[in-house]
Amino acid sequence: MKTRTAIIAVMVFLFSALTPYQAMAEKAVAWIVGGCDGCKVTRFENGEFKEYPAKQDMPLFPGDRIDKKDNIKNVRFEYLPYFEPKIKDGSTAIILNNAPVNKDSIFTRLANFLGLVKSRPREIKGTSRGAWGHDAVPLENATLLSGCKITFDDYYKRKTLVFKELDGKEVFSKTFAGNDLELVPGKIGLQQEKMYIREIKIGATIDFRSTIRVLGKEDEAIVNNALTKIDAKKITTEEKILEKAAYLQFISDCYPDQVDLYWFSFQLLDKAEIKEERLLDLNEILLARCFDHKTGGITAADFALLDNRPGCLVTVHLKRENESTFVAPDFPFKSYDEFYFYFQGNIGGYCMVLHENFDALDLAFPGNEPGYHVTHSQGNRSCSYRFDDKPGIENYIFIFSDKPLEEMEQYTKLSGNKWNCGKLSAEQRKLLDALLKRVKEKGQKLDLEIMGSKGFARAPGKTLSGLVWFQVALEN
Amino acid sequence: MDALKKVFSKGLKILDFSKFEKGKRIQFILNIAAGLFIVFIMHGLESTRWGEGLLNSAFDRFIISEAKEAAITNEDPGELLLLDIGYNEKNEIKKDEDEKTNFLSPRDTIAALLKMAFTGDASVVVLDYAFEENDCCHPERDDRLRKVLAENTNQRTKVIFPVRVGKDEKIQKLIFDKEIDQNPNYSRAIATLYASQDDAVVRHWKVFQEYGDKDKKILWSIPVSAVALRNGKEKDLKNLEALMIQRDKKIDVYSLPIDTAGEKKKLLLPLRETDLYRQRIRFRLIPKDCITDSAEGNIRVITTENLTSDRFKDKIVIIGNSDSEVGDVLSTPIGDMAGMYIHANAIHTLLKGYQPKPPPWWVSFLINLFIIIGAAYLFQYTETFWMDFLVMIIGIFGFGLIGYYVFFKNFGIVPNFVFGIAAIGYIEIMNSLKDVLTKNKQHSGSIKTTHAGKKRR
Repeated sequence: MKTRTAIIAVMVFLFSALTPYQAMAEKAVAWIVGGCDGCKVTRFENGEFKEYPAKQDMPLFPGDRIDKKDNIKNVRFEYLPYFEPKIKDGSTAIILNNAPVNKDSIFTRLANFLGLVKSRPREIKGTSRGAWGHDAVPLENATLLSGCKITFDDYYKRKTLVFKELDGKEVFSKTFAGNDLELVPGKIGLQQEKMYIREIKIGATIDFRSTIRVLGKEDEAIVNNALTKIDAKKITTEEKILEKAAYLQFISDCYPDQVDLYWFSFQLLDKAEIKEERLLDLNEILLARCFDHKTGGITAADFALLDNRPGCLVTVHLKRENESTFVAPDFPFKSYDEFYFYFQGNIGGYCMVLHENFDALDLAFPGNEPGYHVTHSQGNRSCSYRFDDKPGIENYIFIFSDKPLEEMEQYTKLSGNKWNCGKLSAEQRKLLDALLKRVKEKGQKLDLEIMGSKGFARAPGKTLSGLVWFQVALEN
Repeated sequence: MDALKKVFSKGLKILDFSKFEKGKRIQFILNIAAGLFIVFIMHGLESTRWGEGLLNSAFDRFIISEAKEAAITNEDPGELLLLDIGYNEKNEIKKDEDEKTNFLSPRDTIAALLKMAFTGDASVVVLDYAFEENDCCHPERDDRLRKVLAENTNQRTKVIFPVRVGKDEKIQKLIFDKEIDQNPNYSRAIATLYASQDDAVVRHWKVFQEYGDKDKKILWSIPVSAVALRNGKEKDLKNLEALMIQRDKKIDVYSLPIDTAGEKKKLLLPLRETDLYRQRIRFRLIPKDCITDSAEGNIRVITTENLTSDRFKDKIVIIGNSDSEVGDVLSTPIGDMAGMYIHANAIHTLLKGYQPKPPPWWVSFLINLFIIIGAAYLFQYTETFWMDFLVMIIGIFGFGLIGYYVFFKNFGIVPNFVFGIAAIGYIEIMNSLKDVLTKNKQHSGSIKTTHAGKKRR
């Protein structure tokens, strides 16, 4: 009995502790801050309407009516969000409450307080990459369908979209007015099975550029056939849309180097606005897959940028809070961003990446891999870094050589063939200093060009000999 | 009088643990020892990452609680006037979708507001914008702001420009550097805030940052600069700066007397990098959508239509943009919040004297000792598992509420006294649980065991 009484006492105690504000009076939500001469306020109080003359800085409550015979628009208000005064006619304004209602019961509050409610995972905006990039579902590395209309989002309004061939020859250019954000690739001169450069311009300035491909004739026919078969099925229109969206994602996942139709899957889902309740979960899953789909980075098709010349493609793997993606080296990084370089060359030989720190050099590649020999099209990963809270530029020097380098051979001996991204000894630093000096004096410097989420550097000639290098500067 | 004496002697008898039966006495001493041990361990762990996380969650609960109260009671922003350009711009967009291009480069709007602040005789204006780059698409807007800055003749209004210090220890350049250097009323400050390593939640303001390669200088943060300038304490900050650079004398906390609405207060500047206790922001100015119960928050919407210069008189004005597309929305204990509102809350914390203070070590020790001994006595009179459990829960919640309502609200102190009671409660509950289980076993024919010294039902 004693115990039961005590339990009840605890519940009452917690109940009262959790609802300390329930009994508080209604709070003021707006204030008159000017132009209130000859104005009156009508308020419903204790079951009746009462009139008050309006005063400067007078607090107002939801439902208050303010009357001013000449012109209510002359009265100036300040108000809390969601409580904008609604002007009814020329002489009356009413303080309306549009605040969202909190429907939590006391038990939900109690359970929340005690941590008994399963918390929803932290939501990350689906279009977060929109903030990092430009499109809701980025078009970098996407494969367009020659006969299929593509709809662009609002970002393209008043901007110029240009398609160029890889040698720079312009194929198509259009400045969007806002109500014409659609194109059919086949009708604007884009040819099947070809790669193009897509540029988005603000006036004459290029805001963004990346590669984009048009799917080959046979592949497009396979996709169209599959979509037609789905159309012929005896299922609801919404089911057809979901099935098509799922198919487009499936085929993109199966052949990631050849096909990327996530943009089309998103376009179908986005336009359809699925309403059937039983399909909502699937719709959300498919939409989430569109947002999670990584479109950046380096693909086999990107080697076309090197134009059969010796060169290297570099992208930065960025981790910010809980999201990670590939970004270009000219990306505006923030403090505490974590990153590493991912790069692939079309040459075999020797490669190292030096990090020019303020006081000393360190070796960003090879990191944990044994040796610095790289092979054709091999994917390489540098050490991981994290920006500190101070803004500035960090330089990374990518060095390639067709022969082993004396400094690196000595460095290897000093390391005892153990490579790691840790601290270097004074002797190792000296070797890196000497190497960098030699590279800058005798090596051939290449320019780094940015294309979408990657940079690329290529030699001027068809062959490579001796030392070549290029610099990547990351800024936060 | 006699009755009082009787009660007193009865009380003393209850407290005389030498009169306890042997088992109870041992348990009593063990409880105190365990309580003290756990409290010492916990204090030792306070400076670790785990301890910091625990302290943060305790403070967060208090801060959320007072934020809710502040939202409901319409906390008075006092001398602060918050001008959120994002809100104005959004309303304008609603009217005309095509005007979207105005949205992220509102330097003409800033110019207009700044002009009003000069005319209205504002005390301090904090521009929460990094003017590191020219306006990409409308250079005439930069010119308009430059003109307002250059032609200003107001001798009273101080303007603070946020800057960053680069890895090269130099201040990043601003496009208005020339105007800032020409007017002694314009100054630079760092806009840096501290976020916790584990969850990236902003909980603290930063005091200062050193810059300059050889010739070291100090750059104060926005909250410190705003409060000091508002109180005419530029000289004091200069003197402190000299002391800090000379490094002759080690100063842990510097106390700067300030005046807020006629009340004398002290601005405490912790100068050690690790002293975050006093730098905790108490979020009492609540923008919309932070708190579910009061989605409207307590910050008034001030639009360009309802604003007149007289509203600026003697105010600390913060001009910023809360729109998420600006990229200045950060996580705080009470929800996501734009940088301008975090700065506003930091300044509000300083102006109102809400800076949390750590209790002196001996106060903390005495409180803990008192609680532990009290709890050890109390648990001697609880006889069942459920009673032990309830006393522990009531004790933790009760002391938690006392901690909030008495200590934190009034003195900004969070005394850490729940560890002791939790420790003793844990031992008692485990003992009682053992008894309950052995009793059950006994019923089913197991060997009979009883817990020494405790009377069980």
